[in-house]
This record gives sequence, structure tokens and C-alpha cells, in this order.
Amino acid sequence: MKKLRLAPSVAILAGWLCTAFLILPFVSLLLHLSWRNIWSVWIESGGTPLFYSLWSTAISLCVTLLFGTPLGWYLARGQGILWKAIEILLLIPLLMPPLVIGLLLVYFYGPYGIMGHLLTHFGLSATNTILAVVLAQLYESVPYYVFAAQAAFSQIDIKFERISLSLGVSPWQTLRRVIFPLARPGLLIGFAMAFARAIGAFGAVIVVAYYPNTLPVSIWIALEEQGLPSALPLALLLILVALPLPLATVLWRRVHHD
Amino acid sequence: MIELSCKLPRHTFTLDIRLQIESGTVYSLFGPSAAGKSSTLHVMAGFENRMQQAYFSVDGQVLLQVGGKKTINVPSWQRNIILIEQGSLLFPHLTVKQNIYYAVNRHHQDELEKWIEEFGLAPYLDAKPKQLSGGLVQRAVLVRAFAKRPRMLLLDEAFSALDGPLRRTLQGAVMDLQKELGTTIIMVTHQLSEAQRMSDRLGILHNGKLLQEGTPEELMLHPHSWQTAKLLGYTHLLEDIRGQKFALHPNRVLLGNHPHLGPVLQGRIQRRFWYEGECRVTIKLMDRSVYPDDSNVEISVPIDTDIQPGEIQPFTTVHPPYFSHEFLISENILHIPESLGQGFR
Repeated sequence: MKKLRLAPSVAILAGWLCTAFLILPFVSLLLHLSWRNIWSVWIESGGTPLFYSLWSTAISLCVTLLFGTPLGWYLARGQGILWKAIEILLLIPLLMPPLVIGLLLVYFYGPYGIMGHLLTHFGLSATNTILAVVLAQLYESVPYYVFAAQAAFSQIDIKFERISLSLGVSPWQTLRRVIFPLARPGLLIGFAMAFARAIGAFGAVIVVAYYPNTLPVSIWIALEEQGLPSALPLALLLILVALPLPLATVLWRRVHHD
Repeated sequence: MIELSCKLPRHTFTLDIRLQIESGTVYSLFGPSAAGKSSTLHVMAGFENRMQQAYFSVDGQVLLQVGGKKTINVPSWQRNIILIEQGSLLFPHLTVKQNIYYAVNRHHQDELEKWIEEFGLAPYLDAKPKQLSGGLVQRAVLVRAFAKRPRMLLLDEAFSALDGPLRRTLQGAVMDLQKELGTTIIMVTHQLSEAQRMSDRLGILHNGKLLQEGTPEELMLHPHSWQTAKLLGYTHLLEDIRGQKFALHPNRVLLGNHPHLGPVLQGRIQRRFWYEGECRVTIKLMDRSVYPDDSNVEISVPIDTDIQPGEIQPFTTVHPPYFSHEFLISENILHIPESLGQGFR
């Protein structure tokens, strides 16, 4: 009996320790912040990087939705070895360290890379431009959205699709009226994850686009040049910008689907 | 007239079937699991694309032709053929009303409201499907299907998840609507009672082959092969005094000696028990060669019969079906009209 009673206590303790491990650094950030000059730091050093971060993230998320949603669909429903192979290939950008992604991007999209040459013909550059930031964010975030979309579409019973089609509703209308509404919770989670990855993208971004400074890059520069106290207000700004959407998504899912 | 012929490779066999079905009737495909029944419905509904050869037409309109000179494949959503599958589902994100009106033609609004009342769905229109019982969900699924006025309704084990009384109620409701609208219904079931009760004709499918088809009565009285007979509930193959083989069905037996009705057998009563509302006895046959090799046969008896275990009783098999030597399994012996399956030639 004693053993049985002990087991839940140990589990509860482990749960609390895990939560504390994850949350306490954030609390420490709040304790060490110099609240008096936070606003001035945000105005002086945070405004422009915040703008670049939001702007590039907005573009990269649009691209992610546009191309990642069909890919997620085909990974979920596509038959044959091709889609299985693509699924495995997509694991590469997902598992690769962001810094390595950045190096690969330099070789491919940089001034001496294949795509870099091509972009130059159109008067574009993927080095130290907003395009470079978007590309780096995409490589860091797309796989998260695609796999979330794949999972969301996979869990929809294929019978729903058949029912709709056999009721005379076209494939496009079936997607709009049945598939997307049923996949929405999973797609939203994927979108929130992609957003968090994109806005917080650092490793790949700093290799291909030191300029224009995005918020994560600005934090690193502030840390390097002025030390921790200057970096902390920017870190808080990033958290405040990055957290609401994923949190709202999780809460929305809880309210509507649990 | 509905005409279907198709060759479809499956995991362990090739579905090779040819059917002609009168429009406006109810036709059942009956057979054991994994016989190719659902695949046949999927071909008709437009959800199967691995056919080697196929031809499917409804009232002269060719909806599918594969393997011939010209390939035709009308998409599923343009066929006006509705498939209702096992555990058939309402869209979970829509209310019952939104489900019923999902693809409805507004011209039939009054009729639809009448059906909603008749099927007892009126109080649940604003509910979500997960708030409904299985029976109510199935009612809503049927109303949604009939509301579309399909030219064919395909029922794939549509009632199998329901309990007995509810199943019979819904079967009755479907039969009434079918008569009212003249919809052709093709249903797949592994329950013989359901197939016999609802169908004008039924086909026995086994390992992708149509063993026999006919009215429920024709099949029951004259199965062409022992394979078919077994699927229809015949339990034993016996020899009469001339050495000819006939099949024994537990419900086609009379206690007593009535030689003018069929072969008379004799056996010792082993056990008396109840089976699906019938009183049955197990009898150990005397001096008979039996196939399969089990001389204990079951027969139904009137509930007021006063027989006890240990007694020796004569019983008469009433007009049993006889089989010649090729009784084990006969291949597809249906007559195939020349007009059918043009893509094959």
C-alpha cells in the first residue's frame, strides 16, 4: 500500500520539477530586468528590428501556408513511394541545426550559388536583404507546419471525403466545407509553431542576413556589444511578440475542441 | 437498367463480377467478409481506380469504361450515386440540420421537412452529431441521402452497427422511402436475414466471384452449388437412398415420416436448445454418410414439440436442393448478356 501511495507523489514531484525547470528562467528574466529604462531601450533599439521581424515573418508565413498546406495534404493522402520519399527528405531541414541551414543557404542563394546567380539576373539578392531573412525563416519553419498539416489531414476519416463527394459536392467545395474545417485545429497549431519558429529564427538568419537586423539578431548584437542588461529588454520584447499567437491558438483549441 | 462488369485485382483474389440490375429495385450483394462486396460498391460510386477492365452504366448512361478503346470515368460527385458506409458519418463540425441540408436541392424543402418529422429528427436539428445516439445519426444519414434524390443508393453494411429492433425499424423506413421515390438500392451485407428481407434480388459473392443470383426465394429453394448453399445457411450434405446428394437446412425440416415431401432421416435426439428465437434440437444421424464429417445435425422444431434427448426420431427434409458431382464449388455460371462489358472484347 505504501508503495502505491508513493508512486503518485513521485510523479507529481517530477511534474512540478519539470514545470519549474521550464518556467524559472523566464521568472529570472523578469527579476533581472531594469524596468525603468525598458521603454527607452525598446524605442531606441527595438523598433526597427521588430518591424523587420514582423514583416519578414508575415511574408514567410504566407508562403508557408500557400505551399505547405497542399504539401501536407499530399503527404497525408498521397499514395506511392514518391510521397514517402518526400516525407523523409523533409526531415532533413527539420533536424538540421539552424546554423548549418544558414551555411547551406549561403552556398545555394549566396552571390556565388546557383540560385544566387539566377536571382542576380532579376536584380535580387539573398544576402543581407529581407529576402534572405524570409528564406532563412522559411527553412526553419516550413517543416514544422508541413508535418503538423500532414497530421491534421491524416486524422480526418477518408469516409467524410467520400460522403461529401457522393452527395454531389465538388472536390474543391469538399475541401472548403469539410476537410479544412475538420483540419483547422491541427493546421492552427502548425501555423502557431511555424510563427514561433519564424519570428525567433536566429541561427540561419544571422549567417545569410546580419542586416537588416531582426529582433533575435539584435538581441545577439546587444549581448555582444553592450552585455546582458541591454539584451534582456529586447529578449522580453521578442517573448511578448512571439507568445500571444501560439498561446491564443492553444486556448482556442481547448475551448472549442476539448 | 444498371449494368456492371469489372476486373479489379485485390490482395488475395481478383474481383471479377458482372451484374445486371433492374432500375428501381433493391439488390443485395451477400457473402462472407473480404469477398469483394464493398469494392463492388466503390467501383459504382467512383471511389476505385485500380480496375484492369470495367464497364458501368445506369439507364444507358455510361459512367465508367476502362480497358476498351475509349476510357470514360465520370467523377464520383457527378454520378448522383450516394454511398452510405458502415458507421456512416455525419460531419462532426456541422449541426444535424446543416448535415441534412448539406447538399440538398431546395426544391424538395417541404418533402424534406416531412421526412425530418417522420424520422423523429425534429427535436435534434440544432444538436451536434456527437450528442446523438447511433440510431439517430443513422436516421439523419438516411434523410440526408434521400434528400439528394439519388438515382442509386449504395448501402455498405449501413445497419450493422445498430441493435436488432432499431435495425429492423430503419430497414422498414428505407424500404418505404425506396418504394415512394423509386430509388435503386444496392446493398452489401453479411447478414442473410437483412439481404432476404429487403431485396428484390440478391447475388452471392465469394472470393470476388458471383456464385449465383436470383430472388431470395429462388436462391433459398434452388442453390446451384454446395458453396452457395453453405452461405445460405445449409449445414450438411447428405445422400438419399438412391445415393444422390442433397443439402440440409435446419429450417426446412419436419419432424415425422413424410416421404412424399422429401428424404426421411432418422436420428437420436442429443440436445434441445434455443437459437435466435427458434427451438432447435441436435440429432445424431443413424447410418448416413454426411459431409462435413459430423453426424450431429441441428434442426428447428415447433416449440410445443414434446421430444426429449435420447429418443430416436424420424424427420423429413422438405424438398431439399440436390447437387450433382460438381457440388464442391461451381464457378460463375450466370448468363452474361452480349451487350454487357463491351470493353472486354
